[in-house]
Amino acid sequence: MEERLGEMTEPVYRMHRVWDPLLRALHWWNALTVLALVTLGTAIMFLGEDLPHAMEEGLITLHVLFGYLFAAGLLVRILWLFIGPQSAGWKDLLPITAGRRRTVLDTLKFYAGFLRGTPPLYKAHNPFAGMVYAVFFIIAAVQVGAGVVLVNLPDDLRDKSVSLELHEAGYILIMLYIAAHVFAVVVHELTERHGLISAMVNGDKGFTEEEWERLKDE
Amino acid sequence: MSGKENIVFGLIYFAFTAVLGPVLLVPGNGGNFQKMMAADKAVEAMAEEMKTGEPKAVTQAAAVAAIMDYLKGAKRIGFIASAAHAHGNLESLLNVVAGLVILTLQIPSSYKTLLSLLFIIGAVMHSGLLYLVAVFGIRAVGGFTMIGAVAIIAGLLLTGIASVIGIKGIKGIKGIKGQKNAG
Repeated sequence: MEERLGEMTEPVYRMHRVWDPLLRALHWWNALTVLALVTLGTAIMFLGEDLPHAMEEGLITLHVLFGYLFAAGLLVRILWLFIGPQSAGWKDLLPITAGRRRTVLDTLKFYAGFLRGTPPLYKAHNPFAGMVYAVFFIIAAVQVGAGVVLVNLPDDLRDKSVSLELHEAGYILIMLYIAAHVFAVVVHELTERHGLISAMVNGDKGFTEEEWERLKDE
Repeated sequence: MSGKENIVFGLIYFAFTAVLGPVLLVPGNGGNFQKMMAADKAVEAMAEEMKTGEPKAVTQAAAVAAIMDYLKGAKRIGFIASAAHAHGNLESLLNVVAGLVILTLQIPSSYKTLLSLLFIIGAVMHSGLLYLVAVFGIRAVGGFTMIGAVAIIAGLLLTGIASVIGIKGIKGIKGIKGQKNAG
């Protein structure tokens, strides 16, 4: 009976700091600027020709303004990959250790089993998601570059430019990324129960003693 | 990096950018002045012919060619070199000032490194690349100057935020929040 009661006892979670304030600020800065950019970009792409010329120009100016604000956040985030704390660094994104490669496999098995079984255990970034973030940073940098080229091209060359095709392809990839990111975050929040979303606000994730012990090698 | 690097970089970069002004701009302006005088002379010759009737095609073509020659030179040397010189001077001084501010901030060292790097990258990638365009005519690198501009904007914003939390007081100066006079 005592054993049964013991089994039913809720595990005790202790909060541990996983993400620094700058990383969290950059995450939300980039999220808000990307949201503004895709909203304005969608309006320019699908409504641009139906809108009065002055309004279209205004939307493009706003899109460029948010583009520069996003570029500033992206540049700082990329620098922070190399000089920031361990949990913000590039080593926390890529599966460069055997332990992190094992977590990638655990994550893929968890997905393949339709979220049944034990969810993967990791301290800060999930290394599988980390690889996706690394690709996102590259796509975002190309997107910013293509955007700058487009802004500086004369109107008649802009429509025929390779940069425009690149910028539109980047838009689709970023939309797919946003959908996948939000979906995966909700799934991991519900299945892992470490407080993933709130950790991106307050910096802390909850782990049991046993989980924290297993994560010490990470 | 603690801010000292920005002061060192800023002062040395200022020496270079100050020297590049007379080296790059003064001869350019001299050449441009000559072209302007040539254009003026060609237009005057056309105006002289116009007094007696239709100007000759050769005179008209010479006037147009002289004007275009002046405009091309003015655009190439005047605009980009002036921008490089002005921004170079400004960004070197910005590095000196930013370095002094970063030195006084009480924030973790990785944050100081980030701020320090942003201002150095900003100057090198912005006015530094503008100099490459102006001096060597490598126009392709001109597009990358936005990286420098963005780095400076990010550096200014983050240093502003860091100053709110990182300026805790300076020893020996009265009136600065949270610090008693050392004396």
